[in-house]
Amino acid sequence: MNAPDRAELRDLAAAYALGALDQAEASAFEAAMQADPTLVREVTEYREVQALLAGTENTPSLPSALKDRVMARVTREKTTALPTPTPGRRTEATPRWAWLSIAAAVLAVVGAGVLFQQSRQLRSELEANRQDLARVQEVLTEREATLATLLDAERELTVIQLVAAGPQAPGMQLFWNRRTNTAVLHAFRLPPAPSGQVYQLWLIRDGVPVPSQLFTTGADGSVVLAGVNLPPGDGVSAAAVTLEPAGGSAQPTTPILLVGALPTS
Amino acid sequence: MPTAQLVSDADLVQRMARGEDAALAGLYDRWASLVLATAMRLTRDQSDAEEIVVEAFAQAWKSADRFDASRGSVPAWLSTMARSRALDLVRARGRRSRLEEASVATVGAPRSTGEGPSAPDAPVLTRERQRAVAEALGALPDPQRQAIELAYFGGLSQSEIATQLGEPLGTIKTRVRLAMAKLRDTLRPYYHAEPAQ
Repeated sequence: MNAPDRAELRDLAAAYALGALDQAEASAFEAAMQADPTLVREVTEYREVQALLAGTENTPSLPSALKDRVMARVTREKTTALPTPTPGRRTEATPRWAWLSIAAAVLAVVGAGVLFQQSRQLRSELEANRQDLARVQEVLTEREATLATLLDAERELTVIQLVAAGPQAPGMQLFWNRRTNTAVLHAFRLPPAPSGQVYQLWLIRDGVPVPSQLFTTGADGSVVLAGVNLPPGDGVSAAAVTLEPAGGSAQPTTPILLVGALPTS
Repeated sequence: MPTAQLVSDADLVQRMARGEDAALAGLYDRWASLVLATAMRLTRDQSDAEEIVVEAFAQAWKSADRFDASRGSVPAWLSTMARSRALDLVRARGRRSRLEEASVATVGAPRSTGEGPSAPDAPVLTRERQRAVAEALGALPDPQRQAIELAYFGGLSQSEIATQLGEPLGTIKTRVRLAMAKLRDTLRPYYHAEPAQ
């Protein structure tokens, strides 16, 4: 039997390149990608497909001023300071009317500079706000998915507590929606998987480990993943976690780190 | 593809990393239409899409020294940056309108925007590529094409698509995977640039 979770990771590559993964999935995929160059190659190819899809309709109108905006934007990136207007020096021979017109011109230049500065600052604030909003939206979407998995289960929610020995030992909760066979996975006090390795969830069915979700944790040792797909639960008696090579394994290759039995109803 | 390219895209990016404005201008001439089209596919708004073009090229300028030709072509790199920004924008603006827009968006036969491009030598795709992409999309089974439309043109995540269609998430994942694999296999000869060695 092939390693199904390696295939599952490769499946995610297409959706990752499209930007169609939820945040938690995307983070887990990026962690796996760092350790697995084949995933990078998969994403690279799918990004080429993505770029081709953009051209299914004819070219939108490309205004000539747009290039000027791009070049001006980059010029601003390069020069942090605005050019200072340099008014001419008054000489004894300068008549009063000429001085007044020079002063007016200087004021106009300075005024334009101030307006330009304000407009630039407003655009920058607007962009920052947009990005903040996008981040909040992503977090909300993830929370919605987590909540939906828990609530949609109604009476068919199974909670498995996976533990290791020791009072401050790592642990994991698996909230298993038996109606949809999806789960929310919450690991805690579990150090991030070492480079080139991932954590792998196993369901023990009729005494045989069935490979499931690959994941790693953040720097704080925790992760919450929603929308974890699990196989149908018939015959499943327990769940376990091991540390496996990137891409996962078809059978556990290292000792069990965390284990928990299904609650008896 | 634009007219014969004496200087490769990757060379232009290298020169851009050294601070050459002319290299940025050269890349813009070659790929601005593609970047604009990528942004338009999601935003459906010319003004928003133009702003994304400015941001994407500014980002390219800043990150040119990190571009790795072994990780894909320059147009795919630029297009990915534009798509990422467009997704941020449409996701921040809410999902309802996106769903409505996704149902309006169609794929298949190329259609004109009514106005010709200002740079006629730099179309998004050659006619041959447009036809190949349209045919490849048209050859997908309807459910797979629908999943790609919602993901690509609607900017929805797989779980959002599952919710929208009332289908299991696993089914949607399979459809996206199969559809993208078919598109990849069919369209490989039409990539924008030769794969890096």
